[in-house]
Amino acid sequence: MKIQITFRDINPGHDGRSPLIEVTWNNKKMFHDKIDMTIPFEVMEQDDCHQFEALLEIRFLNKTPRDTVVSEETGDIIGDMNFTLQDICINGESLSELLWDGEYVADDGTVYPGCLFFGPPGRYRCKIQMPLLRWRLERNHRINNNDPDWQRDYELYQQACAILARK
Amino acid sequence: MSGLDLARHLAWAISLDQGLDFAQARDQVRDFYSGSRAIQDAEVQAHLLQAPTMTDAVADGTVVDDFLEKFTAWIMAHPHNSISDLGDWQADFSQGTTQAFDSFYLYFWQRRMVFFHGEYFYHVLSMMQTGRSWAWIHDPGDLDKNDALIISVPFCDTGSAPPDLDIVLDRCDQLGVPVLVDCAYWPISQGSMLDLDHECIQAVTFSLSKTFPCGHARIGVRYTRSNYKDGQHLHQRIGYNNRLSAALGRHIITGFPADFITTKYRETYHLLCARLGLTAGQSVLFADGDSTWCEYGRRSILQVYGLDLDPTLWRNRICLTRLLENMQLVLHLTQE
Repeated sequence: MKIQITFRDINPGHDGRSPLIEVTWNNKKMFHDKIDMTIPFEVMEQDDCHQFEALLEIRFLNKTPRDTVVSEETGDIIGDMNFTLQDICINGESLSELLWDGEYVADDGTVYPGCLFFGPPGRYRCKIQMPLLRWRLERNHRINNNDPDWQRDYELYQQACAILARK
Repeated sequence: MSGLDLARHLAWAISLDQGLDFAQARDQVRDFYSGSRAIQDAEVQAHLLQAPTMTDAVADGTVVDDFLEKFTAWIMAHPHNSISDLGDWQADFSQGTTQAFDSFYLYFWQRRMVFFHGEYFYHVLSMMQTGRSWAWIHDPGDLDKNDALIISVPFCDTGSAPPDLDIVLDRCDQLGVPVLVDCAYWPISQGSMLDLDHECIQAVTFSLSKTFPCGHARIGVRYTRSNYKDGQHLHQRIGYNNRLSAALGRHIITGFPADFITTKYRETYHLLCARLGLTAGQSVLFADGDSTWCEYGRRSILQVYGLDLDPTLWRNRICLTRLLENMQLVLHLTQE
Protein backbone atom coordinates (compact mmCIF):
# COMPACT_ATOMS: atom_id res chain seq x y z
CA MET A 1 0.00 0.00 0.00
CA LYS A 2 1.54 3.31 -1.09
CA ILE A 3 1.42 6.21 1.31
CA GLN A 4 2.45 9.77 0.67
CA ILE A 5 2.63 12.48 3.31
CA THR A 6 2.84 16.12 2.25
CA PHE A 7 3.74 19.13 4.36
CA ARG A 8 3.51 22.87 3.84
CA ASP A 9 4.85 26.05 5.48
CA ILE A 10 8.08 24.43 6.59
CA ASN A 11 10.05 26.92 8.67
CA PRO A 12 13.64 26.20 9.83
CA GLY A 13 15.05 26.83 13.29
CA HIS A 14 17.04 29.90 14.39
CA ASP A 15 20.29 28.56 12.97
CA GLY A 16 18.77 27.33 9.73
CA ARG A 17 18.27 23.75 10.91
CA SER A 18 15.49 21.90 9.16
CA PRO A 19 12.86 20.10 11.21
CA LEU A 20 13.74 16.46 11.84
CA ILE A 21 10.87 14.00 11.82
CA GLU A 22 10.18 10.31 12.24
CA VAL A 23 7.21 8.55 10.68
CA THR A 24 5.97 5.24 12.06
CA TRP A 25 3.24 2.87 10.87
CA ASN A 26 2.03 0.60 13.65
CA ASN A 27 5.19 1.56 15.57
CA LYS A 28 7.39 0.46 12.70
CA LYS A 29 9.79 3.14 11.49
CA MET A 30 9.13 4.22 7.91
CA PHE A 31 11.10 7.46 7.74
CA HIS A 32 13.63 9.25 9.92
CA ASP A 33 15.31 12.31 8.44
CA LYS A 34 15.06 15.99 7.72
CA ILE A 35 11.58 16.92 6.63
CA ASP A 36 10.74 17.18 2.94
CA MET A 37 7.64 18.58 1.29
CA THR A 38 6.68 15.07 0.22
CA ILE A 39 7.51 11.83 1.97
CA PRO A 40 6.46 8.63 0.19
CA PHE A 41 6.74 5.13 1.61
CA GLU A 42 5.10 1.75 1.31
CA VAL A 43 3.58 -0.48 3.97
CA MET A 44 2.96 -4.19 3.75
CA GLU A 45 -0.81 -4.40 3.93
CA GLN A 46 -2.69 -6.86 1.74
CA ASP A 47 -4.85 -4.27 0.04
CA ASP A 48 -7.00 -1.29 0.84
CA CYS A 49 -10.32 -3.14 0.52
CA HIS A 50 -10.13 -5.14 3.73
CA GLN A 51 -11.20 -3.59 6.98
CA PHE A 52 -8.30 -2.86 9.32
CA GLU A 53 -6.81 -0.15 11.47
CA ALA A 54 -3.25 1.13 11.65
CA LEU A 55 -1.60 3.79 13.80
CA LEU A 56 0.30 6.45 11.88
CA GLU A 57 2.54 8.76 13.89
CA ILE A 58 4.69 11.69 12.79
CA ARG A 59 7.14 12.82 15.46
CA PHE A 60 8.74 16.25 15.56
CA LEU A 61 12.17 15.39 16.94
CA ASN A 62 14.51 18.37 17.05
CA LYS A 63 12.56 21.37 18.31
CA THR A 64 14.25 23.22 21.18
CA PRO A 65 13.24 26.41 23.02
CA ARG A 66 15.98 28.28 21.12
CA ASP A 67 14.08 27.63 17.86
CA THR A 68 11.38 30.04 18.95
CA VAL A 69 12.62 33.63 18.61
CA VAL A 70 10.65 36.30 20.45
CA SER A 71 10.95 40.07 19.88
CA GLU A 72 12.30 41.77 22.99
CA GLU A 73 10.37 44.91 22.11
CA THR A 74 6.91 43.53 21.34
CA GLY A 75 6.97 40.02 22.76
CA ASP A 76 5.78 38.67 19.39
CA ILE A 77 7.23 35.48 17.95
CA ILE A 78 9.38 36.59 15.03
CA GLY A 79 10.93 33.23 14.14
CA ASP A 80 9.98 29.65 14.85
CA MET A 81 10.79 26.17 13.65
CA ASN A 82 7.48 24.66 12.68
CA PHE A 83 5.52 23.11 9.80
CA THR A 84 2.05 21.91 8.92
CA LEU A 85 0.76 18.58 7.74
CA GLN A 86 -1.04 19.19 4.45
CA ASP A 87 -2.32 15.78 3.46
CA ILE A 88 -1.85 12.05 3.54
CA CYS A 89 -2.64 10.01 0.46
CA ILE A 90 -3.18 6.26 0.55
CA ASN A 91 -2.91 4.59 -2.84
CA GLY A 92 -3.50 7.98 -4.38
CA GLU A 93 -6.62 8.79 -2.37
CA SER A 94 -6.43 11.87 -0.19
CA LEU A 95 -7.50 11.55 3.43
CA SER A 96 -8.58 15.23 3.29
CA GLU A 97 -11.15 15.75 6.08
CA LEU A 98 -10.15 12.48 7.76
CA LEU A 99 -6.90 14.14 8.85
CA TRP A 100 -8.95 15.98 11.47
CA ASP A 101 -9.66 12.69 13.20
CA GLY A 102 -6.02 12.70 14.23
CA GLU A 103 -4.56 14.60 17.18
CA TYR A 104 -1.36 16.37 18.09
CA VAL A 105 0.18 15.21 21.36
CA ALA A 106 2.78 17.63 22.68
CA ASP A 107 5.69 16.26 24.67
CA ASP A 108 4.31 17.98 27.80
CA GLY A 109 1.21 15.77 27.46
CA THR A 110 -1.16 18.38 26.07
CA VAL A 111 -3.48 16.89 23.43
CA TYR A 112 -4.73 19.07 20.58
CA PRO A 113 -7.54 17.23 18.72
CA GLY A 114 -7.55 17.72 14.97
CA CYS A 115 -4.36 19.77 15.02
CA LEU A 116 -2.16 19.56 11.92
CA PHE A 117 0.29 22.22 13.05
CA PHE A 118 3.67 21.05 14.33
CA GLY A 119 4.58 23.87 16.71
CA PRO A 120 5.55 22.48 20.09
CA PRO A 121 7.71 19.37 20.16
CA GLY A 122 5.47 16.32 20.02
CA ARG A 123 3.72 14.07 17.54
CA TYR A 124 0.71 13.88 15.29
CA ARG A 125 -1.04 10.54 15.61
CA CYS A 126 -3.95 9.21 13.63
CA LYS A 127 -5.70 5.86 13.66
CA ILE A 128 -6.02 5.08 9.97
CA GLN A 129 -9.19 3.11 9.29
CA MET A 130 -9.43 1.18 6.09
CA PRO A 131 -11.25 1.19 3.76
CA LEU A 132 -11.31 4.96 3.61
CA LEU A 133 -14.87 5.07 2.28
CA ARG A 134 -16.17 3.33 5.39
CA TRP A 135 -14.17 5.71 7.58
CA ARG A 136 -15.54 8.74 5.72
CA LEU A 137 -19.15 7.59 6.07
CA GLU A 138 -18.73 6.75 9.73
CA ARG A 139 -17.02 10.09 10.44
CA ASN A 140 -19.61 12.09 8.52
CA HIS A 141 -22.43 10.58 10.55
CA ARG A 142 -20.49 10.95 13.81
CA ILE A 143 -19.92 14.66 13.13
CA ASN A 144 -23.16 15.64 11.39
CA ASN A 145 -25.61 12.99 12.63
CA ASN A 146 -27.31 13.05 9.23
CA ASP A 147 -26.74 9.64 7.71
CA PRO A 148 -28.22 6.89 9.87
CA ASP A 149 -28.26 4.42 6.97
CA TRP A 150 -24.56 4.69 6.16
CA GLN A 151 -23.63 1.28 7.53
CA ARG A 152 -26.43 -0.57 5.73
CA ASP A 153 -25.65 1.16 2.44
CA TYR A 154 -21.94 0.57 2.81
CA GLU A 155 -22.53 -3.14 3.35
CA LEU A 156 -24.85 -3.30 0.33
CA TYR A 157 -22.18 -1.54 -1.69
CA GLN A 158 -19.52 -4.01 -0.56
CA GLN A 159 -21.72 -7.00 -1.32
CA ALA A 160 -22.60 -5.66 -4.75
CA CYS A 161 -18.93 -5.07 -5.53
CA ALA A 162 -18.14 -8.65 -4.52
CA ILE A 163 -20.96 -10.05 -6.65
CA LEU A 164 -19.92 -8.03 -9.68
CA ALA A 165 -16.31 -9.12 -9.23
CA ARG A 166 -17.43 -12.74 -9.56
CA LYS A 167 -19.52 -12.02 -12.66
CA MET B 1 -32.86 -13.53 -0.55
CA SER B 2 -36.17 -12.04 -1.66
CA GLY B 3 -38.42 -9.03 -1.33
CA LEU B 4 -37.04 -5.66 -0.36
CA ASP B 5 -33.60 -7.06 0.50
CA LEU B 6 -33.27 -8.47 -2.98
CA ALA B 7 -34.53 -5.20 -4.46
CA ARG B 8 -31.84 -3.25 -2.62
CA HIS B 9 -29.11 -5.64 -3.74
CA LEU B 10 -30.26 -5.47 -7.35
CA ALA B 11 -30.39 -1.69 -7.26
CA TRP B 12 -26.84 -1.47 -5.95
CA ALA B 13 -25.43 -4.04 -8.34
CA ILE B 14 -27.05 -2.49 -11.42
CA SER B 15 -25.93 0.99 -10.42
CA LEU B 16 -22.34 -0.08 -9.80
CA ASP B 17 -22.32 -2.13 -12.98
CA GLN B 18 -23.00 1.13 -14.82
CA GLY B 19 -19.66 2.42 -13.52
CA LEU B 20 -21.07 4.73 -10.86
CA ASP B 21 -19.04 5.38 -7.72
CA PHE B 22 -20.44 4.93 -4.23
CA ALA B 23 -22.03 8.37 -3.96
CA GLN B 24 -23.49 8.30 -7.47
CA ALA B 25 -24.79 4.77 -6.99
CA ARG B 26 -26.32 5.68 -3.66
CA ASP B 27 -28.18 8.59 -5.25
CA GLN B 28 -29.48 6.33 -7.99
CA VAL B 29 -30.45 3.59 -5.57
CA ARG B 30 -32.57 6.04 -3.57
CA ASP B 31 -34.70 6.71 -6.66
CA PHE B 32 -34.28 3.31 -8.25
CA TYR B 33 -37.91 2.27 -7.99
CA SER B 34 -39.50 5.71 -8.15
CA GLY B 35 -40.61 7.61 -11.18
CA SER B 36 -42.30 6.34 -14.29
CA ARG B 37 -39.78 6.17 -17.08
CA ALA B 38 -40.17 4.13 -20.27
CA ILE B 39 -37.94 1.12 -20.80
CA GLN B 40 -34.86 1.86 -22.92
CA ASP B 41 -35.68 -1.07 -25.15
CA ALA B 42 -32.84 -1.98 -27.51
CA GLU B 43 -35.11 -2.72 -30.48
CA VAL B 44 -36.85 0.62 -30.10
CA GLN B 45 -33.58 2.47 -29.70
CA ALA B 46 -32.25 0.87 -32.87
CA HIS B 47 -35.44 1.91 -34.67
CA LEU B 48 -35.10 5.47 -33.37
CA LEU B 49 -31.76 5.75 -35.13
CA GLN B 50 -33.66 5.49 -38.41
CA ALA B 51 -35.99 8.38 -37.56
CA PRO B 52 -36.58 11.08 -40.20
CA THR B 53 -34.24 14.03 -40.17
CA MET B 54 -35.31 17.22 -38.44
CA THR B 55 -35.36 19.19 -41.69
CA ASP B 56 -37.53 16.60 -43.42
CA ALA B 57 -39.90 16.51 -40.46
CA VAL B 58 -40.28 20.29 -40.21
CA ALA B 59 -40.89 20.55 -43.96
CA ASP B 60 -43.57 17.84 -43.95
CA GLY B 61 -46.89 19.68 -43.95
CA THR B 62 -48.96 16.53 -43.63
CA VAL B 63 -47.06 14.79 -40.86
CA VAL B 64 -49.21 15.91 -37.94
CA ASP B 65 -52.51 14.90 -39.50
CA ASP B 66 -51.01 11.66 -40.72
CA PHE B 67 -49.64 10.90 -37.27
CA LEU B 68 -53.02 11.55 -35.66
CA GLU B 69 -54.83 9.31 -38.12
CA LYS B 70 -52.32 6.51 -37.66
CA PHE B 71 -52.26 6.95 -33.88
CA THR B 72 -56.03 6.58 -33.62
CA ALA B 73 -55.93 3.26 -35.47
CA TRP B 74 -52.80 2.21 -33.55
CA ILE B 75 -54.20 2.82 -30.08
CA MET B 76 -57.53 1.18 -30.86
CA ALA B 77 -55.73 -1.88 -32.19
CA HIS B 78 -54.15 -2.62 -28.79
CA PRO B 79 -55.17 -6.28 -28.54
CA HIS B 80 -55.32 -6.43 -24.75
CA ASN B 81 -57.19 -3.20 -24.00
CA SER B 82 -60.65 -2.06 -24.94
CA ILE B 83 -61.75 1.47 -25.76
CA SER B 84 -64.79 2.83 -27.60
CA ASP B 85 -64.40 4.04 -31.19
CA LEU B 86 -62.28 7.19 -31.19
CA GLY B 87 -63.04 7.85 -34.84
CA ASP B 88 -65.84 10.30 -34.07
CA TRP B 89 -63.72 12.37 -31.71
CA GLN B 90 -61.60 15.26 -32.86
CA ALA B 91 -57.92 14.50 -32.50
CA ASP B 92 -55.41 17.21 -31.61
CA PHE B 93 -51.67 16.85 -31.30
CA SER B 94 -50.59 17.25 -27.68
CA GLN B 95 -47.17 17.81 -26.17
CA GLY B 96 -47.52 14.73 -24.02
CA THR B 97 -50.61 14.37 -21.92
CA THR B 98 -49.50 17.45 -20.02
CA GLN B 99 -50.58 19.95 -22.66
CA ALA B 100 -54.03 18.43 -22.53
CA PHE B 101 -54.09 18.92 -18.75
CA ASP B 102 -53.12 22.57 -19.08
CA SER B 103 -55.80 23.08 -21.71
CA PHE B 104 -58.40 21.41 -19.50
CA TYR B 105 -57.47 23.54 -16.49
CA LEU B 106 -57.98 26.59 -18.69
CA TYR B 107 -61.14 25.47 -20.45
CA PHE B 108 -62.90 24.79 -17.16
CA TRP B 109 -61.30 27.63 -15.25
CA GLN B 110 -64.51 28.50 -13.43
CA ARG B 111 -64.84 25.04 -11.92
CA ARG B 112 -63.12 23.44 -8.97
CA MET B 113 -60.58 20.93 -10.28
CA VAL B 114 -60.75 17.60 -8.49
CA PHE B 115 -58.50 14.54 -8.53
CA PHE B 116 -58.69 11.21 -6.82
CA HIS B 117 -56.04 10.80 -4.20
CA GLY B 118 -52.96 9.31 -5.84
CA GLU B 119 -53.16 11.26 -9.09
CA TYR B 120 -50.24 12.80 -10.94
CA PHE B 121 -48.42 15.35 -8.76
CA TYR B 122 -48.30 17.79 -11.67
CA HIS B 123 -51.97 18.56 -11.09
CA VAL B 124 -51.40 19.41 -7.45
CA LEU B 125 -48.42 21.59 -8.17
CA SER B 126 -50.22 23.40 -10.99
CA MET B 127 -53.25 24.07 -8.82
CA MET B 128 -51.22 25.27 -5.84
CA GLN B 129 -48.96 27.53 -7.87
CA THR B 130 -51.78 29.18 -9.78
CA GLY B 131 -54.06 29.58 -6.79
CA ARG B 132 -56.82 27.51 -8.37
CA SER B 133 -59.70 26.05 -6.47
CA TRP B 134 -59.06 22.31 -6.25
CA ALA B 135 -59.48 19.28 -4.01
CA TRP B 136 -58.50 15.70 -3.53
CA ILE B 137 -61.49 13.39 -3.58
CA HIS B 138 -61.73 9.85 -2.28
CA ASP B 139 -65.03 8.50 -3.61
CA PRO B 140 -67.77 9.49 -6.05
CA GLY B 141 -69.78 10.99 -3.20
CA ASP B 142 -67.20 13.76 -2.90
CA LEU B 143 -68.03 15.09 -6.38
CA ASP B 144 -69.91 18.38 -6.73
CA LYS B 145 -71.81 19.74 -9.74
CA ASN B 146 -69.32 22.64 -10.00
CA ASP B 147 -66.32 20.34 -10.30
CA ALA B 148 -64.18 19.26 -13.25
CA LEU B 149 -62.43 15.90 -12.88
CA ILE B 150 -59.17 14.55 -14.26
CA ILE B 151 -58.82 10.81 -13.80
CA SER B 152 -56.09 8.51 -15.03
CA VAL B 153 -56.90 5.15 -16.65
CA PRO B 154 -54.85 3.14 -15.69
CA PHE B 155 -54.64 4.95 -12.40
CA CYS B 156 -51.45 6.88 -11.71
CA ASP B 157 -51.02 5.55 -8.17
CA THR B 158 -51.20 1.88 -9.07
CA GLY B 159 -50.85 1.36 -12.82
CA SER B 160 -54.16 -0.50 -12.71
CA ALA B 161 -57.78 0.49 -13.25
CA PRO B 162 -59.02 3.18 -10.87
CA PRO B 163 -61.53 1.83 -8.36
CA ASP B 164 -65.21 2.12 -9.31
CA LEU B 165 -64.52 3.86 -12.60
CA ASP B 166 -68.01 3.24 -13.97
CA ILE B 167 -69.65 4.51 -10.78
CA VAL B 168 -67.48 7.64 -10.91
CA LEU B 169 -68.36 8.31 -14.55
CA ASP B 170 -72.07 7.64 -13.90
CA ARG B 171 -71.96 10.15 -11.07
CA CYS B 172 -70.24 12.71 -13.31
CA ASP B 173 -72.93 12.13 -15.95
CA GLN B 174 -75.62 12.80 -13.34
CA LEU B 175 -73.96 15.96 -12.03
CA GLY B 176 -72.77 17.31 -15.38
CA VAL B 177 -69.14 17.21 -14.22
CA PRO B 178 -66.76 17.38 -17.21
CA VAL B 179 -64.04 14.74 -17.19
CA LEU B 180 -60.64 14.42 -18.80
CA VAL B 181 -59.36 10.84 -18.94
CA ASP B 182 -55.58 10.62 -18.74
CA CYS B 183 -54.47 7.50 -20.61
CA ALA B 184 -50.70 8.03 -20.32
CA TYR B 185 -50.25 4.43 -19.14
CA TRP B 186 -52.71 2.89 -21.59
CA PRO B 187 -50.19 1.35 -24.04
CA ILE B 188 -48.14 -0.19 -21.21
CA SER B 189 -51.15 -1.90 -19.67
CA GLN B 190 -53.23 -4.96 -20.32
CA GLY B 191 -56.90 -5.35 -19.46
CA SER B 192 -57.67 -1.64 -19.48
CA MET B 193 -61.18 -0.68 -20.53
CA LEU B 194 -62.75 2.68 -21.23
CA ASP B 195 -66.34 3.36 -22.27
CA LEU B 196 -66.50 6.73 -23.98
CA ASP B 197 -70.28 6.72 -24.14
CA HIS B 198 -70.33 8.58 -20.85
CA GLU B 199 -71.37 12.11 -21.79
CA CYS B 200 -69.27 13.56 -19.00
CA ILE B 201 -66.06 12.62 -20.79
CA GLN B 202 -65.00 15.74 -22.63
CA ALA B 203 -61.40 14.81 -23.37
CA VAL B 204 -59.16 11.76 -23.50
CA THR B 205 -55.42 12.01 -23.82
CA PHE B 206 -52.60 9.59 -24.62
CA SER B 207 -48.84 9.82 -24.69
CA LEU B 208 -45.92 7.76 -25.95
CA SER B 209 -43.61 8.96 -23.17
CA LYS B 210 -44.19 6.04 -20.80
CA THR B 211 -44.16 3.43 -23.54
CA PHE B 212 -41.14 4.29 -25.64
CA PRO B 213 -37.88 6.08 -24.84
CA CYS B 214 -39.02 9.32 -26.45
CA GLY B 215 -40.34 11.21 -23.43
CA HIS B 216 -38.35 14.33 -24.18
CA ALA B 217 -40.06 14.63 -27.54
CA ARG B 218 -43.38 15.01 -25.67
CA ILE B 219 -45.48 13.05 -28.16
CA GLY B 220 -49.17 12.83 -27.33
CA VAL B 221 -52.68 13.02 -28.68
CA ARG B 222 -55.80 14.55 -27.20
CA TYR B 223 -59.31 13.59 -28.27
CA THR B 224 -62.24 15.88 -27.59
CA ARG B 225 -65.88 16.01 -28.55
CA SER B 226 -66.70 17.91 -31.74
CA ASN B 227 -68.02 21.01 -29.96
CA TYR B 228 -64.88 21.45 -27.87
CA LYS B 229 -62.94 24.52 -29.04
CA ASP B 230 -59.85 25.85 -27.34
CA GLY B 231 -56.32 27.04 -28.05
CA GLN B 232 -54.93 23.57 -28.43
CA HIS B 233 -57.56 22.67 -31.00
CA LEU B 234 -56.96 25.98 -32.78
CA HIS B 235 -53.32 25.06 -33.28
CA GLN B 236 -54.38 21.75 -34.71
CA ARG B 237 -56.89 23.39 -37.03
CA ILE B 238 -54.45 25.96 -38.42
CA GLY B 239 -51.60 23.47 -38.71
CA TYR B 240 -49.33 25.09 -36.15
CA ASN B 241 -48.12 22.08 -34.22
CA ASN B 242 -44.83 20.39 -33.50
CA ARG B 243 -43.92 18.46 -36.64
CA LEU B 244 -40.70 17.11 -35.13
CA SER B 245 -42.57 15.31 -32.38
CA ALA B 246 -45.29 14.17 -34.74
CA ALA B 247 -42.75 12.78 -37.21
CA LEU B 248 -40.94 10.89 -34.47
CA GLY B 249 -44.23 9.61 -33.11
CA ARG B 250 -45.31 8.39 -36.54
CA HIS B 251 -41.94 6.71 -37.01
CA ILE B 252 -42.29 4.86 -33.71
CA ILE B 253 -45.89 3.69 -34.05
CA THR B 254 -45.33 2.46 -37.57
CA GLY B 255 -42.46 0.34 -36.25
CA PHE B 256 -44.15 -1.22 -33.24
CA PRO B 257 -47.69 -2.22 -32.29
CA ALA B 258 -49.36 -0.60 -29.29
CA ASP B 259 -48.88 -3.73 -27.18
CA PHE B 260 -45.20 -4.15 -28.08
CA ILE B 261 -43.85 -3.32 -24.63
CA THR B 262 -46.53 -5.17 -22.65
CA THR B 263 -46.21 -8.28 -24.76
CA LYS B 264 -42.43 -8.26 -24.70
CA TYR B 265 -42.00 -7.66 -20.97
CA ARG B 266 -45.14 -9.10 -19.35
CA GLU B 267 -43.66 -12.47 -18.44
CA THR B 268 -40.49 -10.94 -17.02
CA TYR B 269 -42.57 -8.40 -15.12
CA HIS B 270 -44.51 -11.17 -13.36
CA LEU B 271 -41.29 -13.00 -12.59
CA LEU B 272 -39.89 -9.88 -10.92
CA CYS B 273 -43.09 -9.25 -8.97
CA ALA B 274 -42.97 -12.79 -7.63
CA ARG B 275 -39.31 -12.60 -6.63
CA LEU B 276 -39.69 -9.18 -5.01
CA GLY B 277 -42.95 -9.89 -3.24
CA LEU B 278 -44.81 -7.19 -5.12
CA THR B 279 -48.42 -7.25 -6.21
CA ALA B 280 -48.60 -7.24 -10.00
CA GLY B 281 -50.98 -4.84 -11.71
CA GLN B 282 -52.25 -4.13 -15.20
CA SER B 283 -49.26 -2.01 -16.17
CA VAL B 284 -46.01 -3.65 -17.09
CA LEU B 285 -43.87 -0.96 -15.45
CA PHE B 286 -45.48 -0.67 -12.03
CA ALA B 287 -46.21 -2.97 -9.16
CA ASP B 288 -47.70 -2.37 -5.76
CA GLY B 289 -45.42 -2.59 -2.72
CA ASP B 290 -46.62 -3.11 0.84
CA SER B 291 -45.68 -0.77 3.67
CA THR B 292 -42.13 -2.15 3.85
CA TRP B 293 -41.47 -0.46 0.49
CA CYS B 294 -42.14 3.02 1.85
CA GLU B 295 -38.56 4.21 1.15
CA TYR B 296 -39.28 3.87 -2.54
CA GLY B 297 -42.70 4.60 -4.04
CA ARG B 298 -43.11 8.19 -5.16
CA ARG B 299 -41.39 9.81 -2.16
CA SER B 300 -38.51 11.20 -4.21
CA ILE B 301 -40.88 12.63 -6.83
CA LEU B 302 -42.60 14.63 -4.12
CA GLN B 303 -39.21 16.02 -3.20
CA VAL B 304 -38.33 16.86 -6.82
CA TYR B 305 -41.65 18.65 -7.22
CA GLY B 306 -41.09 20.50 -3.95
CA LEU B 307 -44.39 19.23 -2.54
CA ASP B 308 -44.50 18.97 1.23
CA LEU B 309 -47.08 16.20 1.32
CA ASP B 310 -47.13 13.05 3.42
CA PRO B 311 -45.83 10.24 1.14
CA THR B 312 -47.60 7.59 3.19
CA LEU B 313 -50.89 8.84 1.78
CA TRP B 314 -49.97 7.26 -1.56
CA ARG B 315 -49.55 3.63 -2.50
CA ASN B 316 -45.98 2.41 -2.73
CA ARG B 317 -45.96 2.35 -6.52
CA ILE B 318 -42.80 0.53 -7.50
CA CYS B 319 -41.39 1.23 -10.93
CA LEU B 320 -39.57 -1.79 -12.38
CA THR B 321 -38.16 -0.07 -15.46
CA ARG B 322 -34.52 -0.25 -14.39
CA LEU B 323 -34.78 -3.95 -13.59
CA LEU B 324 -36.50 -4.70 -16.90
CA GLU B 325 -33.68 -2.88 -18.67
CA ASN B 326 -31.05 -5.03 -16.97
CA MET B 327 -32.63 -8.46 -16.98
CA GLN B 328 -29.45 -10.29 -17.91
CA LEU B 329 -27.74 -9.01 -14.79
CA VAL B 330 -30.90 -9.41 -12.71
CA LEU B 331 -31.20 -13.07 -13.68
CA HIS B 332 -27.53 -13.64 -12.98
CA LEU B 333 -27.79 -12.04 -9.56
CA THR B 334 -31.03 -13.75 -8.58
CA GLN B 335 -29.50 -17.12 -9.39
CA GLU B 336 -26.57 -16.54 -7.00
